[in-house]
Amino acid sequence: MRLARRLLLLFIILSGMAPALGQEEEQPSAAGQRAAVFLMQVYANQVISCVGEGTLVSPDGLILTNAHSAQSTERCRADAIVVALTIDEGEPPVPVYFADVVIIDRRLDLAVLRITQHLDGRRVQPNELILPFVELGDSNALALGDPVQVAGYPGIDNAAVETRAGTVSAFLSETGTGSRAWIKIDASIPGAMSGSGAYNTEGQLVGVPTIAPFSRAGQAVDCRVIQDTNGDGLIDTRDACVPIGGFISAMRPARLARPLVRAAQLGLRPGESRADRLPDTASTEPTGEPAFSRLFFAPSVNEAGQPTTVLAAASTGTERLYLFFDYVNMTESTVYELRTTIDGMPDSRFSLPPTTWSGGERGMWYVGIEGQVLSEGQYECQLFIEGQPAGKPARIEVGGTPQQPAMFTDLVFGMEGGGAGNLVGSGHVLPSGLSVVNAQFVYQNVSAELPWGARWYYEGAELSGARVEGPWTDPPGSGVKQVRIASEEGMRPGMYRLELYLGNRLAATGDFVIAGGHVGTGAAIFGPVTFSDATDAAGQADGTVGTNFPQSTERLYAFFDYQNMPPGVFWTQRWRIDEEIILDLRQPWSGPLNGSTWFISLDAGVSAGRLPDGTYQVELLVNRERVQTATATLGEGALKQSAVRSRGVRMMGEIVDAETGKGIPGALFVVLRAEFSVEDFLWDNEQILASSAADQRGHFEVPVQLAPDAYYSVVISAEGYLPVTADGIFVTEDTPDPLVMRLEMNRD
Amino acid sequence: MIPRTGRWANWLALGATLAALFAGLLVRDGVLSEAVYYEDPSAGIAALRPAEWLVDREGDYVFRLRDPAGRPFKTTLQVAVMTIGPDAAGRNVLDALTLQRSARLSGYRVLSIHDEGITTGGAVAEMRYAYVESEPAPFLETLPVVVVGVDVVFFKSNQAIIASYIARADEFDRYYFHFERFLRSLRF
Repeated sequence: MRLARRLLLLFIILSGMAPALGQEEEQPSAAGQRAAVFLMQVYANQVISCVGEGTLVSPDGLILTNAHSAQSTERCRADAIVVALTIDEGEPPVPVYFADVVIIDRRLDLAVLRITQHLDGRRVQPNELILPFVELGDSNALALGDPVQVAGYPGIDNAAVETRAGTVSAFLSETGTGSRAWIKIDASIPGAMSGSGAYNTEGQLVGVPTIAPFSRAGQAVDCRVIQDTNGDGLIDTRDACVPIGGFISAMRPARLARPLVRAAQLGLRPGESRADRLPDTASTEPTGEPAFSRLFFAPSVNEAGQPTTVLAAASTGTERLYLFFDYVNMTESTVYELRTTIDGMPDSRFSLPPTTWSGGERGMWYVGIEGQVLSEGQYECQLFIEGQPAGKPARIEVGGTPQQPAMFTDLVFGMEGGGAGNLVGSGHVLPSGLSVVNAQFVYQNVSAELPWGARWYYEGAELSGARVEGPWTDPPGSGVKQVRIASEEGMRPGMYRLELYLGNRLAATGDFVIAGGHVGTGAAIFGPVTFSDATDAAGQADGTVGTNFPQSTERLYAFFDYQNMPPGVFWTQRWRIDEEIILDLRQPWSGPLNGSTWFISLDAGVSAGRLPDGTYQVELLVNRERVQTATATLGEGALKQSAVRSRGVRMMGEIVDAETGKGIPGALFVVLRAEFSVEDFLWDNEQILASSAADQRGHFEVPVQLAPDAYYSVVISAEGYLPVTADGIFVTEDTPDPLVMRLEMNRD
Repeated sequence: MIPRTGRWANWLALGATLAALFAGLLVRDGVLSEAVYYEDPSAGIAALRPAEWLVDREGDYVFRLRDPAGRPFKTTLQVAVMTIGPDAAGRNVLDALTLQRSARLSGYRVLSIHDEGITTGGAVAEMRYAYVESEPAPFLETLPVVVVGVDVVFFKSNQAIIASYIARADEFDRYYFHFERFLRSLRF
């Protein structure tokens, strides 16, 4: 009789677990709904200035979100970020915690936060939290037409977390990020869901839906007034509103978020740099109005992010198209947007929703669509700044049979001396002091006497006396041609541009940087890197200097000299640990032209306390070209296993009365250590791995993650009910996380 | 041996005592649950309140009614007003309350939020919460008590009217009828 009861109870528990084990599949985004959080930027303890959303990406409280939802700005004043969670399905989120920014990438509009405090101010203790979370998936595996589900809160009203379904409609590339900088989705996603999570069919996070609320004449568009923010008892124009903003049609792929999440998991963040010690006067905001100009299309982009040629029209079957444009007076707070129409009809695929600008003050930028045959028709691309049209639209006709127009392509820059008329040099970064710079390009279908021209620019102004104009005198047809610019006193450091014309039409263009000293065929911009674990007051290396550092190191500084590095030129600091990129920071150079001991650093956050062991590599890049690299080791020189993420399975669910279906408050769910079975259990605490008492609704959540590849036994007990026990619950890497159970208990 | 008439008299006396006791209980309950109309003319809010409960208007509320006999926590009915914007939802009000209370109430925790299925007519949201109330005087030997509260939010123009009932967790259900009556009679 007793055996029969045990078997019956075992059946009950296993049948209760069946749905969680996959016999009834839950929605791919179900885990995402549980991991969704609502973020409120608040000041003066309770005034909400801006809202955003995020996704828990670790059980200990790391949240992936948008940078614009995390940083305090003039528009989104914040002295704290409140994290609200869904505590009951179908109910709006409830404020529970405060979070701090761990790492932020304004260029990608992504950030990782960490939950650090309860709302009453108590610090969250290490290992205290075990929250539902999702893992990052492979966004590169997404293909056109793949379904995605976005889980988040559709508004700041009483809405509960929900899922919006859509499909991948396009992949967009952009300057600085390259291919798949954006994934376009054809779903109607409210702007309030910016920063939430998009999920593939496996329930993995593959993207962060992103839209930046923009303002017009200083006033945010679609801004909700919900509070008496100045406390005067009146609601009027002096009260701040909460910007929401439009509909989302694009997301940042998880691939771009992965280094940020990894750095946050390791407790790393970009540390102090020399730029932080410069006087404030060194960085000046642009005084003019932001503007776009010189819009044109290109069929492809070279390795330096430059257009290979300028298209006048594109033939049927075109699979990629890039819109290039110049920009000036842009800031990190500027919000821009691209809207495209085809034959007058809006086309969401080659459009970009309002997005925070990330390209610095001035330069050339592109947004491209890749990987699909473009519909035929006349494309019109209009750029917007803060919701207002910015400049004239660009138009191009896609369709028809391939033409063989005269064209210039594949523009590169270099020095003479390569033999057989070839150029030497890196192509887009050349050393200063050169007396001659050559540009080489391919010409096709050029007829004799066709008017053409070349114009050289330095820092935006055309160089006088360098213009070339006249009929084509080289052999007609196709070939390779060079043009040159000379300077008796040597080429000055800075940004240069060449524009090639066929008739009055821009046919090709390219930018290049002159920087650094002349060493061999390259530019020596940054000197060798020296590492230290401290700096002195003057910003010189201090403490331990070398390439080997002890385990207790809290900061790692990289020092290097620089020469002829023009202010404003984009450079990148890239940090790797054990070959894995954990920081990729592209920014305009903010130092003077020449100097010594510029430094950058990597910092262990407050929660980590010290940098993890590992082999640290720093790479310095200019215009995408790696110009310096160095390596240092910390501790044992490799990440310890404990720092390498191990996956565990969480157990949760509800314990209910078999007859009434109501939860049993106080029911105890006990997980035994793997070496014990139910038969062995003597209610000895040492035999217990973890336990959880059901709440008022019968919900329980085991406060540890179960290590995979092990068998577990559980005991469920409640006063007045027959105990339920089960042995042999096998947890594997493939076991759904969390393992959600519904357990029924019978009255004694 | 008691004569038959004497036995009847005994039974009669016993019955009369029981009847008197029963009537006393009824009177007591009647007195305890007796309600009178209370109106705050400055806020224009009126409702039926327990007759024996004390009224005060000195805090961040329009008025508060407390059971003077409550030990160690005085069961409370309260009405507060918050200025809100035209786009506010009930949840925004509750979020603001949560942020305020978390900073001053020990162990404050939201138990549930509802915006649908609220039985009180005209209410836009309802929240249940709990916190720990401790005697502020350090020299008194008292145990902290768990307190449960419920807020029901109404909107009127650019104001949120928040009616609250706060009671010891173990007495919450016992006196909840006061709150139900209070809500049914609430006029603003």
